[in-house]
Amino acid sequence: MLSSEKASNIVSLALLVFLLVVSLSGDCLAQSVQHPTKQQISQKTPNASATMITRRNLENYKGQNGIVSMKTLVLGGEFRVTTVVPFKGNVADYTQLELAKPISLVGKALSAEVANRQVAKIKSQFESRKIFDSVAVIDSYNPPLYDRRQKALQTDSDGKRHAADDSLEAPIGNADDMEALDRRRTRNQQELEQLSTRTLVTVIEVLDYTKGSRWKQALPLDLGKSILTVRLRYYDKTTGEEIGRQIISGQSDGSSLLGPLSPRDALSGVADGLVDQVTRRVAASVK
Amino acid sequence: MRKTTYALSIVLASATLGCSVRNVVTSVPPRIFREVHGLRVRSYQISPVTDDLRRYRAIEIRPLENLMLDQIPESSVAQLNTEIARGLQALKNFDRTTKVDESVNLKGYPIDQSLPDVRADVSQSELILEGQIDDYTPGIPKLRYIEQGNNHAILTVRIRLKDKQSAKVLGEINITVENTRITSNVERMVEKTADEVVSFVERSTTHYHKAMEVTADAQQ
Repeated sequence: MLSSEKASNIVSLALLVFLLVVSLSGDCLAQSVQHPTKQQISQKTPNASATMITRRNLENYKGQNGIVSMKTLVLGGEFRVTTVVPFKGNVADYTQLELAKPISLVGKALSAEVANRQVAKIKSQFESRKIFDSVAVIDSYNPPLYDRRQKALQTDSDGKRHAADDSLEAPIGNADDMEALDRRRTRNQQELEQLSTRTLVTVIEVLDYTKGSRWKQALPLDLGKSILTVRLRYYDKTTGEEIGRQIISGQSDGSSLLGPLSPRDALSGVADGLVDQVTRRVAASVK
Repeated sequence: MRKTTYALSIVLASATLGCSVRNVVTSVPPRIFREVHGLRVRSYQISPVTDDLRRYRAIEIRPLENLMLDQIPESSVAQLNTEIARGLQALKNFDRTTKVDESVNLKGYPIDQSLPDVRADVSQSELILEGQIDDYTPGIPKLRYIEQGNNHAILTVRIRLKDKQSAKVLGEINITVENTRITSNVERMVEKTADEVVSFVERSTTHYHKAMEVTADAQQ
C-alpha cells in the first residue's frame, strides 16, 4: 500500500519535471527564434568593447618608418607611402572595415590567387590590430555618385524645416502631419544608428607587381627584387565619398641582414604600411 | 694592463677595418651593376594589341590624366607630355599628329574646318593616345649612396590607344620606370618613360601580329 502510494508520487513528480523541462526548452527555443538580434548583440558587444579598449590604448602609438628602420634593416620589406588625397573627417568614426579584392592594373601579371592572398594578409593584420569591430573582404565596390554641394544644401534646408516644425510655437498639425513627423523622427533615429556603425571601404588597385626571386637576390647583381605597389582609395560606404587616397609601395631586395632568407616580401611591406596608416589616423582621432 | 688595452684596441680596429673593407668590396659589384642597369623598365600588357593598326595615319595626343595631383611637379608632367608628343611627331608612321590641349598640329598641317567631309574621312582612321599618371616619387638620393631603404625614384603611367571614331580600346599598357642610379635624376626617368610610350606606339602601329590573325581564323 505504502509502496504503491510512493510509486504514484514518483510518477507524478517525474511527470511534473518532464513538463517543466519541456516548457523551459520551448521557452528558450521561442526566445531564440523571436529575438535573433539579441544573440547577435551579445556576440557583437565583446567585439565593440575590445575595439574601444584597443583604440584607447593607441594614445601612445607611434607610426612606423617604412623607408628605413631597425625592422627593415634586419628583415627587409621596406615600404613608402605617398598620400595623394589627405584623409577627410575622423577615421575613428568608422567601426567597420571592408576591403575590396585587388583590382589588377598590371594585366595578367597579378593572378586571382595572388590577389586573394594579398587581401587575406591585409585582413588578418587588421584583425590582429583590433581597431575595427569587423573586417570583411568584398568582391568589389562601386561608389555611388557623390555630390557634396547637393548633400550640404539638402542637409541645410532639412535642418531648418525640421527645427521650425519641432518648435513649441509651431501650430498643431493634423493627423497626416503628425504621421509625417513620426516617420521623420524614426528616420533620424535610423540615421543616428547608422552613424554608430559606419563602414570604411578600401579599394585596392595594383599598379606594379613583381614576385621576385630569392636566389637572384643572393647574387651581388641587384636582381630579383620583390615589388608591390598599390593605390588605395578610401570611401565612406554610406555616402560614397572618397575620403582619402594613398600609394603604398613595398619591396624586398635581399639587402637586409637576413638577406634572401628573410621571411618578409613586398606584400609584408604593403600590409604593414596600410595598417600603420589607418592606425595612425585612428590614434590621432583618439588623442 | 696597458698592454692588454693596446692589444684589444688593435684587435678591435683591425676587425672594424676588416668589416669596412669587406663591406666596400662586397658592395662594389652591385653598385657598378646598378649604375649600368639602374634605369629599369617594367611594362605590363593590360589589353594586348590584336588589331592591325598600320592603317592609322593620324594620331591625336591627349595629355595624361594626373592621378598623383600635386605629388608630381608640374614641370615633370609638362616634360612627359611634351616628350611624348615630340617622340610621336618624329615617327614616320603618322602623317598627322595633333596635340589636343594646345590644338596645335605638330607637323604643321592646317586643320581645315571648312571641309567637314574630308575631316570626317580622316578621323575614321585616327588613333587617340590617352592615359594616366599612376605613381610618382623622386626617391631619396642620399639613401642611395648608403644603399639603404626604399630609396629609388619611380614613374608609372598607363597608356591607351583608341579608335577615334568608335572609341574602341585597341591596346593598353602599364609602364613603370624605376631609377636606382646614384648619378641619375628625375628628368632622365621622365625622358625614359616618354621613350617607352613612343616605342609602344611605334611597335603597335608598325607590326601586325599575324599569329593573332591565324588563331582567329582557326577559331572561325
